[in-house]
This record gives sequence, C-alpha cells and structure tokens, in this order.
Amino acid sequence: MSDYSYKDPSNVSLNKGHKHTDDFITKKYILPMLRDPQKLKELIEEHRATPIGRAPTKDHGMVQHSKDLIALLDKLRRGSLTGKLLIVCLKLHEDYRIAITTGVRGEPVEVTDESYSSQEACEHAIFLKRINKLLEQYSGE
Amino acid sequence: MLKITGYSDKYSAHPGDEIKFYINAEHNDNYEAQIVRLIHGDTNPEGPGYKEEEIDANCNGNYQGKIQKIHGGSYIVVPQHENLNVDSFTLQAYIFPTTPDKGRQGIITKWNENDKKGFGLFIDDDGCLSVEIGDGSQVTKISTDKKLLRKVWYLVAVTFDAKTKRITLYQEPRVTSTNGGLGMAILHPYDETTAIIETTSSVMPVQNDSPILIAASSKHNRSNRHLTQAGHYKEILEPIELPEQANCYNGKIDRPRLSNSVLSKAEIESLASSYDECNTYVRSKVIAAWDFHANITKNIASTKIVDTSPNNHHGFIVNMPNRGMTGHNWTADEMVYHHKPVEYGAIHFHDDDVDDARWDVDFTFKVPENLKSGVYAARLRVDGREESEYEDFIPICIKPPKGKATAKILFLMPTNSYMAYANDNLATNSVVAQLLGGKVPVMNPSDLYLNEHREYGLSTYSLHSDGHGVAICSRLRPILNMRPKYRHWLSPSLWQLNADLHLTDWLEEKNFEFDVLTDEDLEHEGVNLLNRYQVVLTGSHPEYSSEKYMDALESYQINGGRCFYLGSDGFYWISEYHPDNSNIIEVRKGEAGTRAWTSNPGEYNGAFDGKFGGMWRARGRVPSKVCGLTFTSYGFDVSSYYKREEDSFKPECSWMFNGIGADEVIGDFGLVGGGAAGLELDRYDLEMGTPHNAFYLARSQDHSNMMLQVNEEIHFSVRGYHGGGHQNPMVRADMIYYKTPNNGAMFAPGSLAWCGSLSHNNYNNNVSLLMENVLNGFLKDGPLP
Repeated sequence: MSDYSYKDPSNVSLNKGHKHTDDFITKKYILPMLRDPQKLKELIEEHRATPIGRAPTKDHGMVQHSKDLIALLDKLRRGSLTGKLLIVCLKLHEDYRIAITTGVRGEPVEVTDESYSSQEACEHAIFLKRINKLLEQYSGE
Repeated sequence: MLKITGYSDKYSAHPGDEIKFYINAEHNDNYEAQIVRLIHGDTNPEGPGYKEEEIDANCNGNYQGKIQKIHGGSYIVVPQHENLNVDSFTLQAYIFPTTPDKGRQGIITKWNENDKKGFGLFIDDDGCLSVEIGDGSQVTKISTDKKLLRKVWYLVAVTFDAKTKRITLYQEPRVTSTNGGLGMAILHPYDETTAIIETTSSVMPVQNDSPILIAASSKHNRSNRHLTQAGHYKEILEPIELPEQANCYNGKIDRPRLSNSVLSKAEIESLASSYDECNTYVRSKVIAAWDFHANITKNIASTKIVDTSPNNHHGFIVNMPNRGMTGHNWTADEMVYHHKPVEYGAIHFHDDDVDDARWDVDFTFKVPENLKSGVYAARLRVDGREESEYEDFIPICIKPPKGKATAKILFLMPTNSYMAYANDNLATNSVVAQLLGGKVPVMNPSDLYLNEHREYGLSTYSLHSDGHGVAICSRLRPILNMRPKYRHWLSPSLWQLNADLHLTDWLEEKNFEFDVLTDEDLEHEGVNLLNRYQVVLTGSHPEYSSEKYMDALESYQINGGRCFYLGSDGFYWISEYHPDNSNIIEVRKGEAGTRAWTSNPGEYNGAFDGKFGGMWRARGRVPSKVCGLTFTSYGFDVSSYYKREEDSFKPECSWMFNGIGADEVIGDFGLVGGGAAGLELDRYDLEMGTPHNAFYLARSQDHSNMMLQVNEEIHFSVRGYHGGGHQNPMVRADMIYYKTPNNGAMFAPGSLAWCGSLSHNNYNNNVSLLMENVLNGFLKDGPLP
C-alpha cells in the first residue's frame, strides 16, 4: 500500500477559498476607506453617534448606517469565531464587558476588565478595536 | 459562573397537582426556594421594571443543595448478561464518523475505562479504527493507523481468537453515489483510508460487569440512574441501571453485531447484511445482531434497539439520538424511511444529545386548590442574592381546574417554541450571529455557563458538535434562556417567555381576567380546550406547532372562536411531540425557511410521527391559512411603526380605532427595538390562503436595510427586488382582521415586537388602546360590527 502521509494538505482540504476571496474584497473595498484619514474619521463618528441604528418616530425617520459603514460593519462582523469579540453583561443595564471567544466549542469566553455602562458604548469600543486589528492584520500589504 | 440551575417534571399543572423540581447547586450550597407569580420580566429601566408576587406554598423554604450533573451524549445500552462476556469474538458495524479527529470514541464496547477490563472497538486519538483488549492490568491496543474520513461509510470489524490470540482489524470504506448524503461519492486514493491489520494480542479480555455500549464506553458501570418503564421507555420490562458513559461517538452506526467466534471476511459480510440470511454456522456464533430498522413502523419513535438474533439482547437508546437516518445502503430510491426501512438502518449519535438530566427530586410543589391560573416560577436563590449568578427561575404554568375555564380569555403559552429555542449557544457558535443580530451579541452569565456546559443540550437553532443540526429538544433539563429577566442575544431585548410576559402584564394592568395553558395542554386536549374561551391570545412568537395544534387553531375559528395572533413567524415549523413523552419535541428542518440547518438528503421525515418535516407550507398548511398572515421579513436591529390603511375606517373596523387619529403614527415606541413593528414581520398573501374578505387595518413602514425578506419567497436572488426595508415592498408588517363562521374572528398585527409596546407611557398609548378596543369588542357576545 502507498504511503500518502508525506503529502502536504491541498488548499481545498484546508478550505482556503472563502478566506482568499474575503481578502480580495477587504483589500479592494474596505482598506482604502480605513487608510483615508478623513474617511476613517467620518466612519468612526457616524458609528459613535449611532452604533446600532435608531428606530423611527413621528419626529424623525429611521436612522441607519451609510452604505460605507454598512460595508465596513459587515466585514467586521463576519470574521471567524477565533478571537471574536463579544459583549458580556455582568450587571443588567450597568456593566457591559468586552469579551473574547476562542472559537473552540465549549472553551470559556474570556471576560475582560474593559467595562462600559451601556451596550452602545461597548459596541462602539469593539468597533474601534476591530478597525485597529484589521489595519494591523493587513499592515504589510 | 452560575451557582444554581434547575428544571421541573412538567410545564403546567392544575390546582391540586404536584410539580417536582430538580436542582443543581453548583457548590453544594444551601438555597432558598420561593414560588412566585411572574408579572413582568423585563428589567429595562425605561419600562415598568421587574414585577413578581411571592406565593404561599408548601415548598417555600431553605434547602441543602447538592451538585447534580448531566451525563450528556447519546448511546445504546445493552444490559450486562453472561453471554456477552465472550473469549473469542467478532465485533462489526457500518460506521459513518462525523468527527473522526475529535479523539477517542467508542463504537461497540464492553469495556470499563477505570479498571481496563473487557474489549471494545474504538476510534482512537489519531482518528483511526482501533481495538482494545484489557485484562485489568494490561491493555492491548491495535490501530489501523489509517485515518477515517469524515462523512464516509465504512465497514469496520475486529476478530479475536482466544486460543491463538490472533487479532484481525478491518477498516474498509463503502462509498456509493448516494449513501454519504452530502458526503463524497468519489473516494480516491482508496487505500489512504483502508486497512486490514493482522497481529496478535498479549492480553486476553477478562469478564466484566459492564453493559455493552454502542457509541460510547463505560466510565463507571453504575450511575444510580435508571431507565424505567415510563414515558419514552414504555417498552422496558425491568429497570435498567445506566452506566456513566464516556468517549461518546459522533456519527452514524448501522447494523452492529457481536459474535463469539472469529468470522471470516465473507461471514462478516454476510452477517453485516442480515442475521436471517446467514448460514447455520454463522447463526450459531452470533450473540447479538442489532438492526436499528427492525422496529420501524409508521414511525421510529421507539427507544428500543432490537436484537434480531434469538438471544434477545435488546438495548435502549439513551439521550435520544436521531433515528430514521439513511444507512450504508441508501439508494435514494425512497425518501421516506418507513417506505424502505432496510435502507434506514442507521442511528446518528451526538456527544451533546440529552433527553433527560435524570436528577434527583429536590422538592415538590403542591399547587394550592385556589391558586389562580397564570405564569409562575420556582425562584431559587443562593445567599439570598438576586444577581443572575445566584438566582434561577424555573417557570411553570398554573392551569385552571381541570375541564374548566375561570376567565373568558386564554393566553396560550407557546411552550413548544420555548423548547425549540432552548439553550441555543449561538453567540459563541454561529459565525453569522453578529450579522443576523445587526450588533455584537450581548451574553449573560447563564450564556457563559451554557457555553462551557454542553451537556445541558442545545436548541433547534444549534448544530451538534459534529455540524449536524439539532432536531430533538427536551425540556427535562435546565433551560437557562427561558427565564424572567433574561435578555436574548438576537433580540434588541427579549425573546419568547420573557417577551410574552409583556402581554400578561398588560392584561393584568388593564384588569382583564385570563387563564393560561400551554401548547402541550392543547396537544393533549385538542380544540375542546380552546372552545371553553371566548378569546384566545397567542404569544409573541408561536413559531413551532404540531399537527394537532394546527387542527385546533383552525377548528376554534370555525366554531366561532376569536383569536389574537400577537406575533410573527407563527405556525411555521412542523414540530411534533414524542408520542409517549410530550416533554420532548422533534423538528426536521426542510429545504427552505429561516433556519440554522437543513436536514440531510432522505432525512426529512420525523422519527416521532413519520411525517414529512420542515415548514408547514410544504404540507399545504401555510400559516396564512390559520391566521391570515405569513412570515415575510426579519431584522433585529431596531423596530418601526404602523400607519392606518383605508379599511380601518370602515364601519366593520372603525370601532377598533376609537381614540386613535386618522393619521396617527401607531407604535413608534416600545421595549423591543423601540417600535411595535420589528424583529420579525408577517404579511397577508392572497395566494396563500389569507381569507379573501380580510380587512387591512394598518401597515408598518420605514424599516431598516437590516430587515430582509425571508428566503422561502426568493426563487432568484435579485438585487433591487429582494433587498431590505429601503427597497423591498415585501418588508412590512400587515395588521389584519377577518371574521369567521359563528361570529368568530382573528386580529393579527403581524409583528413580533408588538407586545413590547403595550406598557409605554404607563400603559397609555395607541398600541395599548387598539388592543383594549379589540379585546373589549371580542369579549362582547353576539355578532361583531
């Protein structure tokens, strides 16, 4: 019988298709926005003002994110579960913590000391962290 | 981390009944139990806040708690018998491993992990087939050293000759065009995963008292937990003590066998096919030949595993793995297991299945004779503290006295849907959770606990650890996301039980007397139960319904009943109770619908009822036929409002809007996303059975682009037509009203967020007013305007 153990796994067996295409999308559509200081400032300000969106009332219409912010948020949110940031609410309506999942089923979520008094503030802090991480990840490219 | 968790033996009870409670005190702590009536479970400071009422009860008091664990992971137990302690043996089965790389997993074992006595066929730590033989001091372990591939059928076998100590181990893939379902049909190179190993063992197996386990091995031979003749184990003749199992296997097994002699390869093949077709010699050597398809009737709800040999070494499944699964020989000629049982000889086991926590009873609540019907709970506190780590609630429904109604209004608690969402774990396990929610999920301490305690089981929105969808949910375990105060990661705030308390709280504030019953009660009593009431209110999300539920809801309306369908995405998934135990439900998710998984090819029919599973619409019972509306879109960021439609000014309808202006914005407020129209929305559809004379009362608008159309309506994904709220007219909630024979009626606002707006401005708002007008109208006898 043959010995196949010397062979390196193929990129199909490593399931690289999604990752490589996501890299392309990120470089073409997301990174240019983040590398433009003025644009980045606008995106951060828009998110800070309305991290999740705002329901419409008789006084104002639905407040939702711009097309560029939606594209950025979709990219940040679709990241793999490895090292993905979450929010853990330790005290209802008072203590929202940034937390980190390992991506391994059943492993504890790390709850950090970084605490916010509202869900929206915590959401925005995570947004900023994710932008920095993304820029760092593609810093050489 | 949580200090206390628990569950009850039933969801609902009449006055005079007893409810048993099972409690785990994580550190053997003392705890206080107090029965409370749940009034309002939403802690949001912008609303009325948390409200409960303490109730005098026999069980109130302090208890010494103890640690109680769940032994999760499904397997088959075949009770110990002297025949099973063989010297020479052949073990064989077809297997379809789904996590070959997860580590050691038992396939067929008569083995004790602690004393290392016995023998067993395993997947080893390297993902290869292996045999282990132990005499209590030494262990022989032989591996094929060829990795098993995921989702490939194999014939696996091991023979051991006690005289020569010769071992032969077979690992042979059996791949056809169809038998792997969505797995490979072309396996190349074949010998990368094929092996025949011939060697000798220095060790002889010694007799042991372990039961035979299929899909696990015994950690302890005895757990002091028993299967007894009750519920889904009605076929048990004598109590069976369960072991504590370990090394649970993920994947399918088909046709496992044990013989007391060395069989040749040809004899193994013959026996693999069928005991009855074997020659006399082989049949004389067979100790047990289990055929999982042997007791398929019109369903395969049985927990019994039939030994087709004359030795009657029958077994039972534990923790409810999936039955009616395609076997190693599935041709796809038949898609329904009871049409061709011989091709459905597989069971799919999971290391995180659970049918019953099997804890000891800690206390029993004797329901007082005069206790009024409502939503109650056993409140448990450690150290008298209210923080979520120290406090748990076990919700229960107190029914009116048997056969009676004590009010004109019934709130029908959608407990079937509560079960379907039980312990979902999606914040940490679903890569799309953050996209679906439109935000970073907010987890609670109970979510953190569930993440680390997979033995607490999952929801029908979860995948098992091998990626297979969760089809079976039991409520005989703590369900930590079905609690007052609990805030759900997907909703902007509440979901299911806690959200439904928005409705019961409002009824109470407005002095409407009401009874409470559950989906399960309706299953047992049928439409007679509804017919006692003038008005029936659903919860906010009655998504999972059984066939009897659908029959009753339709029949009630024909009989002149008046309904409020107060949610969205209702009556959507076919879900059936186990025929012998309504604490357990099954859902087979089909090819369309808003879902976390899809059934594998040939596995659409439920084990519990044998019928086609998935969406009710696939069986000609689209929701709009029983409530006028069908699920149309969903988005979980923020909610919106309604505006009146022309029909609302007609004399048949205008009474509902007394006190509400013609151009008034309705429901631009609320505790669920800030509006009355949100999360999930329904629309009417004339092509799908909405009664043709229904009135169009109001329509929601200005939804965000996060609110997207449901996939079952999308045959081609087309930009500009199937998008979100800014471009898609299908993204809306339709509020409708229609009349039925005998002065019956249906009012349906079409939004999951609706009830979250009732308490705004101290219950003085146009959502509350509209509800009050309609409810008062429905409570009047005689024809409606």
